[in-house]
Amino acid sequence: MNAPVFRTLLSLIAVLVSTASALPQTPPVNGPVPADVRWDAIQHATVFTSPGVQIDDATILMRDGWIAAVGPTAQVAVPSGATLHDRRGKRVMAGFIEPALLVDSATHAQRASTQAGAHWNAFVTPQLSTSELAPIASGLRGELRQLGFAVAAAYPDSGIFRGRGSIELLGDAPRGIQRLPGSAGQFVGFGRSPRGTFRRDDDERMPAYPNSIMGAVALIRQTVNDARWRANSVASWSVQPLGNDPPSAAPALDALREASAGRERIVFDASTDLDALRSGVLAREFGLNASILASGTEFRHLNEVVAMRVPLIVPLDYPTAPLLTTARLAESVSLRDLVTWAAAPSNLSRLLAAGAAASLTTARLDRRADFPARVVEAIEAGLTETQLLASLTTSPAALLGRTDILGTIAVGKMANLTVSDGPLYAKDSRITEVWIAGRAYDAAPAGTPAIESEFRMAGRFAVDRADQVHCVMAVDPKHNKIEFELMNPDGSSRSIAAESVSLESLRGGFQVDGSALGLVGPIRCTMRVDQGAIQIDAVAPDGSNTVFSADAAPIAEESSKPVNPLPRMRSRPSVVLTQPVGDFGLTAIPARERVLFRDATVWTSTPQGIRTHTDVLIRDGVIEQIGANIVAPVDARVVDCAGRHLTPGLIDCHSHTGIDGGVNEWTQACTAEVRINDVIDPDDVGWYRELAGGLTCANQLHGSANPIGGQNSVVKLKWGSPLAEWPAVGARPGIKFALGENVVRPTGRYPQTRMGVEAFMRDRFRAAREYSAAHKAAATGSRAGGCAPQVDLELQALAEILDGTRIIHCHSYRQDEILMLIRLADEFGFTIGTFQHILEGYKVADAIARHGAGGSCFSDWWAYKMEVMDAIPWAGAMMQSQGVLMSFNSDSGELARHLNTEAAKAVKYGNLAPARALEFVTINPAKQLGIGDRTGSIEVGKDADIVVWSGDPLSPMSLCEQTWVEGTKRFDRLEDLAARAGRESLRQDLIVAALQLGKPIENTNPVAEEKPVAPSRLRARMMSQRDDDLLDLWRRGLDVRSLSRAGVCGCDEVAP
Amino acid sequence: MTLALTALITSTIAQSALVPAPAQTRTIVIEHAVIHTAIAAAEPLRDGFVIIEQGKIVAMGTGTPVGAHGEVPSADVLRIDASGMHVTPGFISPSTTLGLVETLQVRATDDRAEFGAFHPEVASWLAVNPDSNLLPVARMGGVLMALVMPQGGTVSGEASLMRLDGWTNDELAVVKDVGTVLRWPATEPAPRWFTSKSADEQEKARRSALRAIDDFFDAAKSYARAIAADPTLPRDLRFERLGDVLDGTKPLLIEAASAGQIESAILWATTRGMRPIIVGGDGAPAVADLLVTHKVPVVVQGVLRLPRFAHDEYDSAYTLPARLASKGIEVAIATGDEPSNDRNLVHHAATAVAFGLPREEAIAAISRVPAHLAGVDALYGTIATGRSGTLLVHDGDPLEVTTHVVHAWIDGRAIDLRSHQTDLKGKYEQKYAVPAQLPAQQPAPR
Repeated sequence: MNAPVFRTLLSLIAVLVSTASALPQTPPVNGPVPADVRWDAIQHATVFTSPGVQIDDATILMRDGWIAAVGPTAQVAVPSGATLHDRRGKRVMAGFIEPALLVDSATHAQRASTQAGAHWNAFVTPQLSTSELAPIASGLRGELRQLGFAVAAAYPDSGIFRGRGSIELLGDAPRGIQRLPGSAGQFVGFGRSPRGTFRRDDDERMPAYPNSIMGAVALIRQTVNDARWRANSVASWSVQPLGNDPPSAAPALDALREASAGRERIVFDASTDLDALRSGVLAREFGLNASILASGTEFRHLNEVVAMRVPLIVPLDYPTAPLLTTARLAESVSLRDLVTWAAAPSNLSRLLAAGAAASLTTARLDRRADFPARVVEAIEAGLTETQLLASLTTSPAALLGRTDILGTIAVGKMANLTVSDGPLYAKDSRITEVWIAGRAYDAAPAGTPAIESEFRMAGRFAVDRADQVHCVMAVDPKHNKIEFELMNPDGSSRSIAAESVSLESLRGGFQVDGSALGLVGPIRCTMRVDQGAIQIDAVAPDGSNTVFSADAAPIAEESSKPVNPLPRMRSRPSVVLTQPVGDFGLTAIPARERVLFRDATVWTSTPQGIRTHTDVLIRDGVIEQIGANIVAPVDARVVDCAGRHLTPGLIDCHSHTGIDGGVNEWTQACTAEVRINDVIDPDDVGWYRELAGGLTCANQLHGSANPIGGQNSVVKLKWGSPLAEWPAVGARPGIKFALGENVVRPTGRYPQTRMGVEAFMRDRFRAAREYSAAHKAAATGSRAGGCAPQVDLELQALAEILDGTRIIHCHSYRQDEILMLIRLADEFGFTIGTFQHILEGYKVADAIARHGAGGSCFSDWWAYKMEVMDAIPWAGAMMQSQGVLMSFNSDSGELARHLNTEAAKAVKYGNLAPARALEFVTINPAKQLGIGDRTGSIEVGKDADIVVWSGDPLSPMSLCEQTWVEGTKRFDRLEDLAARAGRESLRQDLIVAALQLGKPIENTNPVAEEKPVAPSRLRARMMSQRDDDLLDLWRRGLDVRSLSRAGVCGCDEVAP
Repeated sequence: MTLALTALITSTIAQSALVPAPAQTRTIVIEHAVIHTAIAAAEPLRDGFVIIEQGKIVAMGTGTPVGAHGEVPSADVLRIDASGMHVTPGFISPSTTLGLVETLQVRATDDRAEFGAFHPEVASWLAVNPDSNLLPVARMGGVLMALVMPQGGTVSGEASLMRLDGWTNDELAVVKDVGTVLRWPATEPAPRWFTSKSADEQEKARRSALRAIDDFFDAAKSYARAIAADPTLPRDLRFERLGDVLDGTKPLLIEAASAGQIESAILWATTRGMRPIIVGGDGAPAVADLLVTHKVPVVVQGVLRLPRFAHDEYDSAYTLPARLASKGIEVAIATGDEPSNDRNLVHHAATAVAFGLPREEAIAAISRVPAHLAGVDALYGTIATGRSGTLLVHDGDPLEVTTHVVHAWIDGRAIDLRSHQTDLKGKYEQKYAVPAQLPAQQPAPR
């Protein structure tokens, strides 16, 4: 043992031993005080000192809770004072570590959030600590021990910043309940305010901030900033108190001082694979010391998750088979759900094979007792026993930073041992005992006789019956079961189970129906094993005795056992994971190609207009050459486009596709701090459908439920590629604003009128101007004294608008409010990016043109609410003619699939030349998004975003045949058609497999994990109404996920 | 012109102030057109002509127009040279709420759904607002008639076939009682992310909903027998209105989307001797044999629609009409959208063409088939001698988005193709003093 380890050991022994022996709260003992001697030796066991390192016939010597020696029994001298434990045939491993035990903290969090100095947001209670919560219940400790766990890192489970965890020993009261000093890290989740929780008791309508995942991310980001600023301001005040207010109490931010600086671990509770990815983003952004409580679906983004190099805590919460009770119902089950179901048990082994640091947890299981069965499934799916042991011992020890005392069996480690009577979690083996700090705990499940396995005679025995009926007695001591199997003369068989079975090592008793032994009525039997034979003494109801003997040599298993006519599959089928996983996924990330599109009619979206019989050559993702009769380079694929049309990839300037966890953070009137960028879902099948309509780029916007919404995201549709590649390079940062009916819809808050909207925006812009000035002053050193001003991500985004580095995309309808925003912008000196919807914009097109804003509208939607009764389909062309840069957009996952025919409506309504009309969905939106120099037209040097159409792109009778994004083919109709039969047969195979695997259980709702607070009566009525509305949509065959209607910007969105 | 327009605008406040067309007095001769007759298996006529007198088509053919008895039309007829243009029947929106609602967000303008579950006694024509601003906009898209369906409860009421021009709703109504609308319950439980109700709860709800339908129709049947035996019995308005649906005289328009719903609904209705029409039909291809056996038509609720499930092919809604038609099932195409978007009906039909539906069948799906479903195919929905002069002249291929309807007649009456929207366009063109460069949207010649 080297010196530092020894010193640590000594100090720890000091801590543990002294706390254990101090026991300040034990009542006086009347009578002799029992000694707590911890001096034991386990002998003759198979010991796994660390994963993969095995010593047969080994001895482990423990004293005072620590391992004093370990090695082959022959080599370890056992002092005479140690109690000997013969563990022949047993396997001994380091005590397992549960790295994420979630402890109910709702009540404490509620209290902490209302105490003086509490954070303004009730979800931010990092000052909580598991040490303030009730000790882990004895039942739970016992349950964990049964699974072999000796230690658990426990965390409070409620809120977003939930509080500090601690490492708990899982022994029993009083001496065994111990906690290692220090923190196990902050626990942070992406929770939204669940249904039924509200900001104020008196407000039925307004859920608390945040109600979206992007809101939760924003809150995390702001809070980390605040904690850092807090630490700085406290430090600077102590240096320079004069002239500065003393810092006020802020226990929440104080509690985050270490974690926000990367000095204390933060565990992110990632309930989906996308949550895991955003945890990694936050960890990198702030340099946090992060680990992730995973969801179990990380295999869906395997490489991206592993590349984050963040340790993972992996649950075994496999989805249950989808509901498949009827063939009709099977029609509704997607390939993604089926593949996720099938591949879930392979999650851990896939992560480990890819190089992730991963520990196992029992968290997220509905029933912790399912853990062994889930482990078995993981093993069948490729997990090795060594990996399994590592993920229960060394990996969590490393994760918790406690490899000094936990995780292996070695001298100087804590005497935590897990003992099993067979291969770990195998069907016929059990965890028999767990040692925690040198104390042994029986791990047998409650209610099971501890000695059951001691009965020496297990197996099948021929019973010698007087009537010559062939009878076999099957004895299963592990399950405390005895069964008699009788063979009828006709060859059929039946079995009779014994009841009230009780077995000791060499004797036992049971009751059984007399027919089992050729007797009548219930009979009581005693059983004895003597000299290698079993003797059964049966007492009939009349008191008469009959003695039977059973052939003690277990007879061979019968080969004629009836075969189950429906062979059941043992484990889930293995599946090839596509990218994205499931429907329309790709087996390989598609590559950039060099392609010559030959002899096409090319709609350039440049002043050159439409060029016939033209070739376009692309290379390395950009357009290399355009012209007639280009000679195909040898490395180029040639796409014959004779009779076909080529257009730039279509661009949707208003999309809500692929936004995870809520399109609206509508709980506050201004949420400029939230970022769609944080919640892009690259797996949304909507992307594939839109690619199939020629879309290559989308402006993902926040909804319109508040006047100042969140920051936008502009993505290229790179279906099958990692999330990091999606953001469109060069796009101008933007933000969603909204005017009119939608923003005044939430009742009970400001603003409720168009007047209030103006005042609110003016006020925010002023605040941003002041914020910006303060920060500029601090940066130039012109500000007197004190520490740097606080970072406010909301005002920072607004200040960027004033600086001209962030553009507004403003949801707007009526002319009066359009002019209002123009006036405000002129006053504050910035230019609005685009007016979205802008359905009355044609009434003030001259003013919009003078201001310099763009317009992005529907081609012809109208009448869906009051403020669009005056919408006209000529608006696009009329505004364009007044000098407004115009685009047509979708605001709809359906419309986004045929923006080309939307553009055609600018020909129908406005007589625009076809080439100009197409520009409404190509170069014009590209310019509006600040990427007009990169995409939106077919010009040399621009991104190779190209669509091949079967005919005139403005005709609804033309088909999109191929869609290329930056030189990579992302959609090909012929390939899609060719793959259909294979996709469907794979889906059917998986459905059959799911049916064979046993009773399907209904899918659980992942959101339902959050414990709902009992809703008020009004709320309950509203929820029930919503339920009925949704069920009606289902009845009508509409997908709830496509609910967003024209112009409502996801206002009616339904959280999944 | 300017003065007239201004006068019109000032009177246009909330409701359409367009003047309904008077009855036809002058013979109309359309010539040199491509005529899509919408008659089954008929190819378009090139250089075709149609002669309309007193609201009816009296003659048609190719080449030089000649009347029913071979006579040359007189000089005072209204001659429309439709060279390069196409003629189709007036489009019929086969499932819509046009006229029942002005804007969905204002409850006061919404008469789509009556309160409660069983209301065969209500009829949609009664609530169709003849002055709705939505009607003229639909007409601009060629929609001259609409099968207006109520939407409430389980039995929603009677569907009515309306012509989209007239002074009163009496004048609008072509058939007041086309058939009864029945909204079939979901047959498969929704997944958990859709609802908090368990599969078992949903199953129970489904059974009780089906039981309620059974009970209601049983009661209606008993009532009919009882009243026949003793006419002095007290009357039940609901059952009386259901009478001719029960014996199959009138169709039952059953809203059903999934294969399970369609299967369940057709078996139920045909066993009871009723005549179902399926409205919805996503799942219809899976039970095509049943539809064929019982000759059940399908109103597809929108072609420009998202696939229902994640694994559905991206074009599953686009190909639905073609998949059904190829099996010999009679298909009508509706928008499945808000009624304000009915003007895009032809765009739905055209998309079905891109995905396999023959062109002429696509036109028939928004003309002949809806007329047949409404029981008026002897008069409407096709272009043939003796049929109503309800047709359209398009300035190009009627299926192209870029094409305009330039003339429209209902029963020979020339329909005003202006609307609240053209009024606003005119108004703001004056604001910007932009010369009228916008398309040929002049009112049809009178």
